[in-house]
Amino acid sequence: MKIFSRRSGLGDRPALTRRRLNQTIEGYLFISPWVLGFVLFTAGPVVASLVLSFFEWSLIQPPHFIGFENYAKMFSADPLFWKSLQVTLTYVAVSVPLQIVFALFLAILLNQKVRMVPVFRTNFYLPSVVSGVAISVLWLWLYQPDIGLINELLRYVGIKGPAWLVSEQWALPAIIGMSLWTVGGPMIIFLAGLQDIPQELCEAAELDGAGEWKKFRHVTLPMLSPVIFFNLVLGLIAGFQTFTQAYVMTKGGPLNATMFYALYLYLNAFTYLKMGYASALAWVMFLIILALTLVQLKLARYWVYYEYEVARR
Amino acid sequence: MTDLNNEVKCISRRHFLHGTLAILGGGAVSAILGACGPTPTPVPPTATPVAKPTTPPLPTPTPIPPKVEITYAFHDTDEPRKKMVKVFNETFPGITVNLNWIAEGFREKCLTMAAAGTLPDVIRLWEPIALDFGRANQVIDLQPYIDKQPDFNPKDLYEVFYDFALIKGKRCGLSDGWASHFAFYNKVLFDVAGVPHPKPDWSWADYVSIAKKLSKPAEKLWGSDTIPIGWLHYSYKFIWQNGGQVYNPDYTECLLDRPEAIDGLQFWADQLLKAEIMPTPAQAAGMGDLFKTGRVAIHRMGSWVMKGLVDAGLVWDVVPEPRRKERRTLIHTAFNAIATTSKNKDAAWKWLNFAVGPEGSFIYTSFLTFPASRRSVNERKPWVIKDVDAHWEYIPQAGEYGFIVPAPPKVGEVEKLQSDAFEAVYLGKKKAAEVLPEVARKVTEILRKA
Repeated sequence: MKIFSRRSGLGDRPALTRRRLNQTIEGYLFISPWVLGFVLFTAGPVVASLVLSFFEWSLIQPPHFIGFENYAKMFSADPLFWKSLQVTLTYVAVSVPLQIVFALFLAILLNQKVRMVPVFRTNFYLPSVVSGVAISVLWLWLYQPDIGLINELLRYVGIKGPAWLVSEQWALPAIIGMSLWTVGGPMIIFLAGLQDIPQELCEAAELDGAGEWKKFRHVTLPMLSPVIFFNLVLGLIAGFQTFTQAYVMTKGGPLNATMFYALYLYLNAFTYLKMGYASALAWVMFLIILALTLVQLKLARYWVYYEYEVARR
Repeated sequence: MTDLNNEVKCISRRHFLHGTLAILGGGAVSAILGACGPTPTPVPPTATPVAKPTTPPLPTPTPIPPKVEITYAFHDTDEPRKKMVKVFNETFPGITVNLNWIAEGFREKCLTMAAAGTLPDVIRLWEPIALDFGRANQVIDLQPYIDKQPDFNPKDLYEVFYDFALIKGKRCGLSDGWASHFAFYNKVLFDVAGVPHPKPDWSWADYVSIAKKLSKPAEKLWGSDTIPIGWLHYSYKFIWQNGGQVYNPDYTECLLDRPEAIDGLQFWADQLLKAEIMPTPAQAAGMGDLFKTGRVAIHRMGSWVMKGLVDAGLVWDVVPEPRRKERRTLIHTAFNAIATTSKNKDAAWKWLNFAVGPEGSFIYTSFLTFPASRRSVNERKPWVIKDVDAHWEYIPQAGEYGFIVPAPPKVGEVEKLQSDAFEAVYLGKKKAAEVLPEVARKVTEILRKA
């Protein structure tokens, strides 16, 4: 300490600064492997894709600069872009709220004090850790029109099931229905949120004469609103990136009824060899997700309740 | 002492930081270099992220060094390749052939390797990639090597294979073996129904008539297998068998607007939609192989199914696909090519010449029970499965009348347009006459811009 002071000639303060500087450098050194990986394998490709979106590039021939042509073509001369956007928006608009409601419903059930509840929790979470391809293959069988389990069950109640994945009308609803099977992730987050709600709030509501529904409506839901918001944002992002189900089960058909945006992007990159156009599609998807997330953040102030904010007031 | 301790600590800390910085910095540089380094060929120094293949040099008679390593990439199986390498090394002990079996994502990996300038020395490419790589100069012209190879007999190869991979006079690949589509039939179902077995010169009308006799839709038994509507090339057969073509020979025009194409496609769409002789797409979806399970009597499919039929214990036979105007079928093959970026082109040619030559292609095709692309090899009947009674003689004949999967430029884009149109026809949403002229116009426009 003394040596530092003597060298710098500035008393104790510079010694502290130098220590802080050293600590800062050490900190950066410790995180440098991650930073390096991030720059090389995430940020680098992201920037490269932005640059590529202004090029025409087939992968096997040199790229050439075309300015905003990819973006212009997308909005003016590509009906499949609009179709894929419509399919994806429909999927997100229907499946994300359904998933949230279903996950919350399951979480409430799994929050009850019943026997073997850990077994139920494990079983309901299990599909979330299964590979997307395996799930898709399984649901291909379930949706088989003649011998599939779903139409078999419908037959029991006197309903002739549709052709599901080979029907232009039913293919997308089929994929939406299937998405409810993998709500394990949001369900666990809801469960944690439910267990975090102070019991005294429920007891106080009971003393005020609140029934189960009123407790749920006026205590549970407001206290869970940050968790709902979190699941909503994540669900929306994941919904926009839906790929595996369509790729494995329908290849975007029939008649492009399940042509999800991410699948169309992939087809452009690796089937049509339009890497520049695919990059432009990726950036448009990023901007759409960003815009929708910002809107959600803005709207959150009207319905998301943060306990600490009230405490601060 | 205290000062000294502090001094020591201070130096130690500085040394530690400097040392760590040096290690991390060095590591980072090594990682970056390492990521770029172990490619077989250096990426050309260009600002753009693509390998710019240079014009392939003519082969020079440079002697092959005593020890050369080359890489051979393919998609199907490595079993016959191992045997091929063993036999090859008896003649060329100085050439080590590293096998790179790309079982999954073959097309995507080929494309990304080409983009990175890291294609293997020899690569076995599917039809459209072979021609795309030829157009983009990713593979070299083999003709100069062929011209200097005294024992290479081009006439031994079926014309359809030898001439397919020609791009502006440049021969960008050579085929070794192939598979083509035939009509396989369940002899037991025919015999039980008392229906005579099909003749090799049968027509579409015969096909429908026979299939009707064998069909009992109420019992989920059909005379004919369904049409896989997502498989575009499968439907090309209907156009060819009706005397039409999908493209003109130099891929500058799409001919789907011609009556042969329109009538051919509509004929089979009508059969599919009536559901009297074949299951509809909905009935067939997810049902697995209806032919193997005895629910379908005639199965128009590629010859690769033969081993599976034997394993399933089916009593079957084979006959050429029926025709309306011409006998045609679909041929699948792959082309062995040498990467422009290969540093050992002479050794690569020696391996390629062996792989597509009489010895190499026999090892390969007999393992897979495929016919070879050489007539001389087919005299040894590599496609015949022992102890199975079938009309094996029909198999190699397809090499004389079949067409290889077309490979126009912008193949993915033009095939998507065609697939959507074909699907609409097969699902009964549109008539072929309504959609095919428009598709032909759009495809031609893309082809002319390419």
